[in-house]
Parts: sequence; structure tokens; C-alpha cells
Amino acid sequence: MKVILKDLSKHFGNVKAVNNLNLEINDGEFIALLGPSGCGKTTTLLTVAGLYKPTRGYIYFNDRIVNEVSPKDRKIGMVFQSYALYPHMTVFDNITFPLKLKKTPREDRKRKALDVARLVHIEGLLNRKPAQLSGGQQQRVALCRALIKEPEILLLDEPLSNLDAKLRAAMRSELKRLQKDLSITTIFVTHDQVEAMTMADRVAVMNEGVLQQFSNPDELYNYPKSLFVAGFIGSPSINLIDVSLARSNGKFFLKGKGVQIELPREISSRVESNSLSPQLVFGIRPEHITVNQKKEGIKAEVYVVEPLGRENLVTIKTSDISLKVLTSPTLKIGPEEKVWIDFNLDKIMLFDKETGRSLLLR
Amino acid sequence: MKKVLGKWTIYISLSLIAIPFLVMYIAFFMQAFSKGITLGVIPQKFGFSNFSFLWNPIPWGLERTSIWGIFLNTVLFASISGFVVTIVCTLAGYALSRLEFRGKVFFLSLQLMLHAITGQILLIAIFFLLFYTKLLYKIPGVALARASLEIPLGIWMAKGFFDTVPWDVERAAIMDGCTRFQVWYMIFLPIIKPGIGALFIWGFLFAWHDFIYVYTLLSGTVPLLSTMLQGLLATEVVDYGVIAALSFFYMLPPLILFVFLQKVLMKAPIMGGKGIA
Ligand SMILES: Nc1ncnc2c1ncn2[C@@H]1O[C@H](COP(=O)(O)OP(=O)(O)OP(=O)(O)O)[C@@H](O)[C@H]1O
Ligand SMILES: [Mg+2]
Repeated sequence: MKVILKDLSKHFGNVKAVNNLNLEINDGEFIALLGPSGCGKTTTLLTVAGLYKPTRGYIYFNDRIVNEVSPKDRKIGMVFQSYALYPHMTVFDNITFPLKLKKTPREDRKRKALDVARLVHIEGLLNRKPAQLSGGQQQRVALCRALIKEPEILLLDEPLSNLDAKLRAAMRSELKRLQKDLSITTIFVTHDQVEAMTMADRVAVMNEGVLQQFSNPDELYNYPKSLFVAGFIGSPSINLIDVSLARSNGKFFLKGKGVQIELPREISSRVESNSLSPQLVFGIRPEHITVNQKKEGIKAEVYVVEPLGRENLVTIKTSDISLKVLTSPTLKIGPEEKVWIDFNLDKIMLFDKETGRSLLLR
Repeated sequence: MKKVLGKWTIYISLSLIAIPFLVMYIAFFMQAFSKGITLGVIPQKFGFSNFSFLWNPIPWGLERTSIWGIFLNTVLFASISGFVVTIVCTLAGYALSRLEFRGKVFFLSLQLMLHAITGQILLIAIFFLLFYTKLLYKIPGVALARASLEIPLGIWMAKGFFDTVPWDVERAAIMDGCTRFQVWYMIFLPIIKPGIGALFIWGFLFAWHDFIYVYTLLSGTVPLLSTMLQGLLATEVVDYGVIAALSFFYMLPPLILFVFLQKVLMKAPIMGGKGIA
């Protein structure tokens, strides 16, 4: 089922929980709604589910407007942020509750319950009460209850956020696999960027009710459209430095506190045509800065070294600016050592300080 | 040393406070279970002769009344009150907890105000109300009136129970295909069962112990245990032994009800999500 949100808004009094959202989700696609707490992810999901009425805008399933269709007729399976299992029912009764309401015969219910339970390996827990289950098991039960309806759309509201790190990683790949096997159109809400980037085909980044960018993980990471997305995506996060654009002898320079970078020709021409104000923000990811001891580039001093295992995260100070850099563990440096840094100019990002828009994208 | 002294002062002062109550209870049991008594507390001979009303009708002026008819009347009266309180409060509590409508806050504060008014003030009005609706001197009518006194606070209690059920559980039920009524009946009621038990006991107990309403609106025609006790006191020869025994009998049913429902009542409503162990 294809899902299209057109100019969708949901307001609670003065709070614009969702503001003019436009999304087009393809049949069988797995998309993530990513954003900080309170940005309107759950509200979006509940509106798609039909539990909230949109203040404005339309929801299409395929070519049909479903604004007035009741939640139970939308063929949606949903897993709630708190799982929302029925505490007074056994796991079996929980899973088969949707079928019971449809008056499915008990034999069919039993068979289907076993089928979905096997899918997520909880066939041994059917007689327990939710209170006797671990968080991970509760999550699987909630998933079963959503899947047993054979939904055409699956809505998942932070289903992994209550699990410990190891279980979360395991469930991540399991869920992704399951979604591909069943090829159900899925909207997955999360505030964890790693989850979003690793699982989803495309990621919609939201902030304060407004969609910031909707693209595949690679594009999101390498070509963020706005300052917010650049800062939100990536861990360790991107280095951002306030700079101003200066021009001399036909060349363009970025000038900040203690740094001066000459811009390559093709970048400078694009910046010049896009930029409205001379105040810019220069962004570069930690892996795109190289550190050397051969006196090439900008002189700086090591502040701290944090070993991450595969690489080291080094904080470097030059004049008043501090930068995060990823280095190979073979590079032996310690605090207060003098080093020289170089930016990979192919990978830099530039944003308009006022609007936050990227200046390098058309 | 100082600490020990402090502890003892607490014990002694608490005991002093407890003494009057203890004496009252001891005297009460002595009265009920002895054949005669001197100086108010010292029993002469233990026995169950005071309880003879259980198998013999009680002389009541020229008539003789059996205790069991009166007992059944009281049970009926208290049960109707309990049921009415339970049904009205679970319906109203659900609406106030889950639905948005105009005047909701006003309605809730109104309930608190109504609760603050003592029931006796309403007696005369209720008398006429029952009189014109032809419910006066009838158990169902008076039980209804009695229940209405407990409904304001009961609604608040019920709202509290419904509030403990997370919104997501209700949403999940709607997604699964429940109608509003099915959500109420299949999800809420089973989860808040203990609360419903508490509401029933609440409505039952107040009616069971009520005197003033029963005395004004029922007495004469339909005696209940409370008015009967009063009747025994109002006779010329007061037999304190029998009164104590009857009081003992009067307090047993609520006690038994409590013991039976204790298990349900103690099980506080549980949530439908993570973090419940
Ligand atoms: N029923 C409601 N009434 C009023 N305001 C609401 C309601 N539901 C949500 N909001 C507000 O709308 C905004 C978005 O809330 P929402 O629950 O969608 O955030 P979220 O992105 O899911 O956050 P989280 O990651 O914390 O779950 C918040 O500011 C919240 O306070
Ligand atoms: Mg949320």
C-alpha cells in the first residue's frame, strides 16, 4: 500500500505538533521518522492510524483519501511506544484479540496465533500474562498483535527504545528482515539516528513538527539540506564553525576565528549564487579532517584523545575553536602535542547562518 | 538510654490513647457473650443466651418479629445502594476520564461541592421527592436516595481508576476493532476490577450503616437492622446484653464481605506496558 501525506497538520490548541507535512511512501517501503523528543513523531503516526483527526491536509492510501475511514478499517497494524498490551489477558488472548472481535472461529485463531508467534519466536509464551514477560518479549507480543491482522501498513512507535543495547541490535536486524520478508509498507518512529539509518530505506527527519529532509540514509549523511539535519545526523557529530565569506584577487576564502580556508572554484561559485548573507556556517565531519605531524595545514594542539576501539576520537584546539577528529589508532598522539590538520575540501558543507539552508545543494 | 526512654514514652502515650477504645470493645464483647454483668464490664457467666433472637422471634410490643426478615431487608437495601453506586460511577468515571466535553471541569468540581454537603440537609427534599414519585417507604426508592449521597465522591474515585489505564491501551483496542462500548466493557472493566469492587463495598457499607435515612424514610413500615437497634433502645426495659449481641450480628456481614473481597481490593490496577514486573 502506498501512503501519501499531503499538507498534513495536527494542532493541539496553540501547539503545532505536526505542521504541513508532505511525505510519499512507496508500497513495501520501510521509512523511519526521526527527530528529537516532542517533535511530533507519535502525533504523525496516530494521525495516519486514524486515532487523531488531522487539523488540515489529507492522508491517501494508494489513491484513496482515508481521512474519514475509521481506524479499524484502515488495515493498519500498530505497535505503541509503551507496547500497550492488555494486562488482564494472556499472551494468546492479546495476540488474537483483533481476530476475536472479528468473530474468527477459535481454530483459525489458534493457527494464526501460532504462525505469527513462530515468526518472532514467542510460541512458548502464549499462556503467560504480560506482567510475566521481559521488555523484549512484550515488544514481540505487541508486534504479533499487529501482524496477525495481516495489515497492509505497519506503524511502529519507538518499539526498540525500551530494550537493552544488545537486544536492541539483535531486534534491529530481525525487524528489518521481517519487514522485507512480508514487504509491508512500514513507518518506524525513532529518536535514535543509528536505528533510523541502519534500518530504513528512507529517513524523514522532523523538528518541531516540520519535515526537515526525506531521503535515503547516505544522502542524509553526506548531503544534509539544513544545518539541523547536519547537526542531528552523525555520531560523533559534525564540526560546525561560524565563518564569513571573503573575496580577494578573484579567490574566495572562509574566515573564522584563527582559520582561513580557500574554497575550491566550483564550490565558491555555487556559494556565491546561493548565499544571501555573508554569515555562513562551515561544517565538516570528524572523519574528513586529517591530522599530521609533518607541518602541513593548520597548526593545532591535541586536547583529549578518546579511544573508540576501531579508531580514536581526538579533540583538537586551534585558537578558540575545538574540533572533533577521527584518527587511526596507529597515529600516536597525546594531549598538548602540536599537530597540523587538513580539511578534505571535497566533503565540506556550507550553510547560511540565518536560514540554516545548505548552500551547496541546488 | 535517651533513645529507649523516647521509645517508652511513645508506647505509653499510645496505650493511654488506646485505653478508652479498648475498654469500649471489651465491654461490648462482654455484654454480648455473657448472661449477666456487674459494674458494666465484669461478666458473670459466659453464654449465648443473648443471641437467642437468632432462633426465636423478638418480642416487639405485642408483636414478635423474626430477625431474618429484617436482615434480608437490610441486605437488599445495602446491595441496591452498592449496585447503583457501582453502575453510575463506572459509567460517569469513564466519561470524565476519557471524553472531552464542555463543562467537564465544572461538573467535576460540582461533585466535590455536593460531597461537602451533609446528607441530612437534603432529607426533607428527598422525602417529598420520594413521596411524589411513590417510592417513599419502599426499599428500592430509599436505597436509590441513599446511593445518590455517595455518588459524587464515587465518581471521583472511579475517574481515578480509569485514569490509571494508559491511553495507548485504549488506542490499541480501538485499532484492534473495538467500539467505544467494547473498550469500556472488554478492556477497562477487567483491568479496574479491584476498583469496581471497592466502589460496590463503598456503596454497600454506607447504606448498611445508615440510620437517619432509614429512620426517616423507611421506619415503621420496613424495619432494617439499624432502626431495629434503635427500637430496642427506645423500649422501657433496655436489655443491654441483647443490644450488644444484635450489634455484633449487625457488624458481621461487612466484616465478612471485607475478608472475601480483600484479595481483589488489594490488587491495585496494573498497567499495560513496560516497567510492570
Ligand atoms: N493530546 C495532546 N494534547 C496536547 N498536546 C499534545 C498532545 N499530544 C502531543 N502533544 C504535543 O505535541 C508535541 C508532539 O508530541 P509527540 O508525542 O508527537 O512527540 P514525539 O515526537 O512522539 O516525542 P517522543 O520522542 O518524546 O515520543 C509535543 O509538544 C506534545 O507536547
Ligand atoms: Mg512519541
